[in-house]
Amino acid sequence: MKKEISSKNFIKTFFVTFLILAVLVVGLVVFFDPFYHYHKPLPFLKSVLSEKEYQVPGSLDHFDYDAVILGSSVAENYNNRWFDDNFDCRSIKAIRSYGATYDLIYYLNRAFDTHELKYVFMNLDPTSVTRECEDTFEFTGAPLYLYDKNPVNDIEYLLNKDVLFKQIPYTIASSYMRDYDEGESYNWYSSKTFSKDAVFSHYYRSTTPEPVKDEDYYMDLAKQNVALIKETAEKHPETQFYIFIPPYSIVWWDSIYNVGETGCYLKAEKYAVSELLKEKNIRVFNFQQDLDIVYNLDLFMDSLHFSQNINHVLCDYLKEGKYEIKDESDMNSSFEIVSEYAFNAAEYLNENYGDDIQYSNP
Amino acid sequence: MLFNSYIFIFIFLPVTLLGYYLINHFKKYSIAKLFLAGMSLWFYAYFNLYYLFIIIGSVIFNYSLSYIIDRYYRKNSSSVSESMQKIFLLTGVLANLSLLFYFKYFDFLLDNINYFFNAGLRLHNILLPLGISFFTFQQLSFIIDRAKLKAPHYNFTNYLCFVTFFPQLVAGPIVLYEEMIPQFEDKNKKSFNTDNFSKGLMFFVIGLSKKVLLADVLAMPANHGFSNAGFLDTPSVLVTALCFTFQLYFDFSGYSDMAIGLGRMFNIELPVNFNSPYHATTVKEFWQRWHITLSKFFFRYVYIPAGGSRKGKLRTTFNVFLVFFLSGIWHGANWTFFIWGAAHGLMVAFDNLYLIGSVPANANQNSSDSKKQKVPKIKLPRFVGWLYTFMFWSLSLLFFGSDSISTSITMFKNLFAFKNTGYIYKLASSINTSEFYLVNKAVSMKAPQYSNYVYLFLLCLVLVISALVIKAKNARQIVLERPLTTKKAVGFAVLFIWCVISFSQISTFIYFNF
Repeated sequence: MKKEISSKNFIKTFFVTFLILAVLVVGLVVFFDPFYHYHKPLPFLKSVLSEKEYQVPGSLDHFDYDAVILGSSVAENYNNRWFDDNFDCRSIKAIRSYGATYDLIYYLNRAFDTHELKYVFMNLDPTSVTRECEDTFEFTGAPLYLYDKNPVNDIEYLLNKDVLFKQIPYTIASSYMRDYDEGESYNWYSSKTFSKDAVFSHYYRSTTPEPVKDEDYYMDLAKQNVALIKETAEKHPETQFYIFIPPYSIVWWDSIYNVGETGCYLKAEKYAVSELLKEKNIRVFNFQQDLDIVYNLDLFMDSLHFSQNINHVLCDYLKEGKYEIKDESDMNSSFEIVSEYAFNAAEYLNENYGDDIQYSNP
Repeated sequence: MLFNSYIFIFIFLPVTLLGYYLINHFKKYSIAKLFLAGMSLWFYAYFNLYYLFIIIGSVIFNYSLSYIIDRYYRKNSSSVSESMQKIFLLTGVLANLSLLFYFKYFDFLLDNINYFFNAGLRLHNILLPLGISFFTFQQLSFIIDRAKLKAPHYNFTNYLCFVTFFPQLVAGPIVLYEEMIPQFEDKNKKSFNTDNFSKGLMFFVIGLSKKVLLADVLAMPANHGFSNAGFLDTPSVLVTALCFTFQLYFDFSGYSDMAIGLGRMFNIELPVNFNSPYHATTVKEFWQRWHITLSKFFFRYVYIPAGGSRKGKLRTTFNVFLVFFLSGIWHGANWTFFIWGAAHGLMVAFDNLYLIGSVPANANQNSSDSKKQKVPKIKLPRFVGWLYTFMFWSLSLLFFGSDSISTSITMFKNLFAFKNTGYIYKLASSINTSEFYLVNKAVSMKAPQYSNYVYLFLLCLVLVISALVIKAKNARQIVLERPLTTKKAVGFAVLFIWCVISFSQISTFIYFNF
């Protein structure tokens, strides 16, 4: 080995060794495929889903399922098994942080491209209705090489230290060394504290509330987002959609009141519900009506993220049809309840939690 | 385009090498150079298309001025007017410095006017084109010598290659026209040379490893420390300074090694930019080993024209200070760089007085002139000299690495508060590299009470490895002085694949902003 070699042989040895090592690394990544970009989980490994930006596209393409749980971070703590048991289906999660409707519908269309779906369970956050109706994957730095069909840029996945040293060992270890529950994909609840104190530790109310905005403030965006959902539902009449608005805490409504947008949100939500009701294959639920959840701050970790028990309760509500909005009359009475507490959120908090509230510009 | 990217390694470099040698093979030398310049511009524009207009504008301006000078001297070869020479010189210098000033310092000036005079001027939020300081200085050197008739008027393709040659385009070394253009003209350098290529490959892999495997890891605690200056205690300020000291060296010298290696692959020799600077035993010696091409530029175009050492001790001291002050400004538009440059100017000026200090080991070999190296009146042991030089450099970097003077002051205050709050564990835990993932995960699951100690151990491990690499032979010695062996080829290939699989991490070259 110590014998001097010619520069030509040096170059040859260098590139041959590099090539052998590169093939080895690529082979390992393709075989274990922890982001499920090429195939479903190996028979001797569990489906270990913990990195949503990286794993949702691949799992939607290659897993076996006939139902999709679609939503933002508040939907991450659902256990797929609850849906499987309640609706006799095999579900998979498609989670997008912040729950932008455009991105969620992208995921849904990706699922429809390769699967026939019996159900779609869509968590419709108030902000999903009111945010820009555009692709946010590139803007937020998502790994686009896992989203497109370009095999060339797969190199970022195939020759990737984090995949090799972190993700593959984690997948193997989770499959064998821990009692890993495949239904708990992407969940985060175990590392969080849910309590009134936790909520207020994250909440800073402004001392100077903004002027009340016109109620139509978000209507253009609401129309675009709702049209996108309706269009997808219309294309797939064989699929039953369950679309539900999750319950945010009274503190969230206080924050909205402070920026003068309570009326804007309620109008946008009501518009969404009224439009979605027109579709035969969509059932709509408004869980904001559940006052036991909205007012109980010990169920939240911040103003909107609730504990896993609530996810379970909501899944059961879907089965039972609780808080379902079937017609205009249901809708009006539902939004009357929500309006009642939403517009009085600030007053309620002042009376009951005045000492707990922190101010952002005291 | 970054050197440490998949597109550079797997597409840009092979295509450029193949195209360059293939065209040269058919003896179309000018086309080969145009191809190389075209690829270099693509490399540059890959960062931002808007940069392309700036560099092309700068090249066209300087080349046109050189052409005008050429026409003028041809017409008036018998009676060259001194005033015209000055006009050419001033035009070239002012135009280049104005470009640099606008992009690099204009907002800084407005910001200071607003601060001191409450003027309320609107900032332009100017995007600094990458490497503008490097290509402006290179062209400045050419145009100064051109006006003084020390440099000839070259043909456009050679000039374009000199400015845009991609290995040195965005972060140096700062090359001079007389070092580069003759090499582009040399027909003996047009065919693929396995000897040069193998050496280039080794330089490149060494540089890439310094950058990706060391600098980027050290950047984690260093960035964490500077971003949380207010929370640091004495040990964590020291460790932040140490991490940044190592990071800066591996980052910048790594880039220079890569540039030198890439140059070699094209049979082009780029000048040495680093010569084991952390072995220096005086601040003066340090600057003879650190960013050598910048020092060379300032020596030739500032120090000597300002009188050098020919006008007495006081003037020499002032000239030295001036060079370092300008060097500080060159590094960035922030008062922190001004202070950093001035501090080094003072220290080198002090070393020049030869009152007290160490004698560098290779002092006599290093002296470029025939004069014997001066010796300080009070000689310090070399270890003491090394320690004071290294400590001065590391502490001065608390200015260099801070985003404001107030952050630097906070760092110094916390350093001399002599407190230990245990923040060092938090700093250590910021090293989040996948090589350590299994260890960290296993400890956090099986013995979480020892997690802090493990973080600290891993931080120490990174620092020890860094120190050993710095103590070992430098890239030049490894590549040029050691024989080629199979073991070496395998070792370099392992390092290379390790670097390549690390590209997915976010990585920014510190010296791109200068």
